[in-house]
Amino acid sequence: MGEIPISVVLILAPIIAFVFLGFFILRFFLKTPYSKRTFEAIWDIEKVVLETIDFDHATQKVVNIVLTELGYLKYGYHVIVLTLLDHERGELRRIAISNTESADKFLKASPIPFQNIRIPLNSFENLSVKAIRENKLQVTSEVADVLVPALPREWVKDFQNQLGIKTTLVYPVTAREKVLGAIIFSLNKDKSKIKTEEWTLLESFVGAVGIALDNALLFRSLNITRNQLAQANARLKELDKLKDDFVSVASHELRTPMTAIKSYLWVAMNKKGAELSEDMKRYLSRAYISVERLINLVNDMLNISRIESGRIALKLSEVNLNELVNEVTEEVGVKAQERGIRVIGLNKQIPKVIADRDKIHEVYLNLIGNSLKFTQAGGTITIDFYEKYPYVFCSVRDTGVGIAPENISRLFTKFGRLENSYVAVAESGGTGLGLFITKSIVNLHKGQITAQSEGLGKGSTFIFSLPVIGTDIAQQLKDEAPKETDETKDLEKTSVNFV
Amino acid sequence: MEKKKILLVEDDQFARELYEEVLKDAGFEVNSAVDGLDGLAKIKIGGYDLILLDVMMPKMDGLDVLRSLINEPPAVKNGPIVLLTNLTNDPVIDTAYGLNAKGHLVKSDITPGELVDHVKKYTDESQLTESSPIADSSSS
Repeated sequence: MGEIPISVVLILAPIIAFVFLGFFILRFFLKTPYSKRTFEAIWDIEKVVLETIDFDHATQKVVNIVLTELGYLKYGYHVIVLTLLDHERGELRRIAISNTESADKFLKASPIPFQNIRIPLNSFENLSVKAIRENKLQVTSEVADVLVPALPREWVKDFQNQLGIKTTLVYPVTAREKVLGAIIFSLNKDKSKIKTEEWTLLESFVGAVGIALDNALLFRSLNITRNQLAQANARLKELDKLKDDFVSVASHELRTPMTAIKSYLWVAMNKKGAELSEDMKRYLSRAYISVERLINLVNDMLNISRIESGRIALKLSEVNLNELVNEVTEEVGVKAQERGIRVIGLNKQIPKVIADRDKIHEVYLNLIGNSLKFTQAGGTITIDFYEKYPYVFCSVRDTGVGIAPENISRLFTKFGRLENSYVAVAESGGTGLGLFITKSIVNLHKGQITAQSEGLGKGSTFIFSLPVIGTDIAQQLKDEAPKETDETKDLEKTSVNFV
Repeated sequence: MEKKKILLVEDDQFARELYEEVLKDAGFEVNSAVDGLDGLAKIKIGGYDLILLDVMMPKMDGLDVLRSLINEPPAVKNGPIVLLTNLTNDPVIDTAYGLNAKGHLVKSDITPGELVDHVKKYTDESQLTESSPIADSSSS
C-alpha cells in the first residue's frame, strides 16, 4: 500500500469492490443454480465491505456469513478461520473464527489462546504457508497441517477426531494481486463429497473475502493514520498556543520598562521651568524616538506572530473605498501638512469591495506613512483606483525618492528595509516590518500588492487589489476568510511619528 | 475650586511615581495604591473622581478588583474606573468593560501629557453625568 497514496486507494477500493463482486455474483449465476440465500450472503459481504469500519468486526462478520447466513453448516462446514499475513513479524496471525459450536469447542480446548496461534512464514510444513507461497488452494485430511508448529500435531489429531472433521481447505486470500492471508474451511465430509457448485461458491466467496479484508485493512490503516495525525495536530496546536502565550506575556513584560523609558524621557523633555540645551534636547529626542521604535517593533512582532499562526480574523463587510480614503487623508492631513506634502484622494466611480474595513484602513495608513517618510517637502501623494474585474486596484503614488529596480523584490520581506532608507525609517519609528504586514493583510483578502518605481528619484507607486462585491472571488473570500474565534486577535496599532 | 481626586492603582513603582507626579503637576489630588488589594481597600473608602486601574498586579489583579466591587459596591461612591495597562487586544479588556470599566488606556501608546489630557476628559465627563448610577455623586 506504501506505493499508492491512501486517499486514492480509499476512493477506488469501494468501486473496485463493486466491480469485483458484480463479477463474482455474475459468475455464480452462470455456473450454479440460482439460490436466493447464496445471492444474499454474497451481498452481505458487500455490505461488510462498504459499511464496516472496525477491522475486527469486519473480519468476524466475514467468517460468519457463509455459515450462518448461507446455511452451510448443514452442508458440513464446521469451522472457518481467517488468517492475516503479518509481513513485519514474518508470520501468519489468526484474526477471526466462525461462531460455531465446533469452533467454540476448539477455542475452549486449545492450549494457547486463539489470537496467539501464530505460524512463522518459514514453517514450510504448514499448509496455510504453502497456500500463500504457491497462491493455490490446499486440501488436507489433517487439521494439524494448518496448525503446526503452533500446536502439537498429536493434540490436534486427537481433537480433530472428537469434532469429526474430515477435510480442511486452505484458500489464499488475495486482493489487487497481493496475497493478504489465508482462509481455512474445516468440513466433516470427504473432499469427494464437495459438489461442483460448492467449489464455485467457495471460490466466489474467497474472492469477496479478499476484497472485504483489503478494505478492512485500508480502513484500519486509515484509522491509525488519522489518529496519529490527530495527535500530531493536537500537539502542534498546543505548541502554537504556548508560543503565542509566550509572545503575549513577553511583549507585555517588554512594554513595562519601555513605557517607563518613554514616559521619563517625555517628562525630561517637557518639564516646566527646566530649560534644556539644544544638544540635550537632541539627545533626549533621539532616545525617545528609539524607544518609540522599540514599542512599534514589539507591536509588529505580535502582529506577525498572529498573522503567521492564522490568528488574525477578517471582519468582512461591503466597503466604499472612496469614503475610506477620505477618512484616511483627513487623518494624515496634519502630519502631511507639517512636512509640506500634499495628499490627494481621487474620487472615482468604482464598485464596493469586500474587505475588513479597519485592516484596509491600516494598509492605507502604512502605505501613506511610507510615502510621507520618503517624500521631500513640496511633493505629492496621490491615492487612485481602477477597476479590473473581479478586483478594484488601489494605488498610492508619491513623488519621493523612488526605489532601485533591484530592491523592489525585497520590499515586502521581513526586515527587508533598504539600506539607504535606514535614516528616514529611524527618524520615524519604522520597524522594517510594515510592508510585510501590509502584504499579509492584502493576501488574507485574496488580493495582491505590488510596488513600481521608474528608479531612484522618480517616485514610487504601491498598488493592491481587493475583490469586488458579488464576484466569485468575493464569495470565495467570504467562505474562506479566517473567522473570529476565542483564539483570534486584532492587529496592534503601529504609530507613525515624525519629529 | 476643590481639586479632583484621582486614585492610581499601579504596581510598577516607576510608572506609579511618574504618573503621580505629572497628575499632581496638572492640579489633581492623587492617591496611589501598590497592588490590587491595596487598591480595592482604597476604592472602598470612596470619594474618588476617577480611578486609574492597572490589570496585571500582584495579590489581586484588576479584574478581581472590578468583580469585588460589583459584589460589594462601596458605601461612598466613586467616579469612573478606567484601565491603565499595557495589555492590548486581550480578552480581559472586554471582560473588564463587562465589569463596569469605563475606558482603556494603553500605557506604552500614550505620553504622560496625553494621560493628563485623558484624565481631564474623564473627570469633566463624570461631573456632567453625575446623575448616572455609576458616576460619583459625592464629587465636588
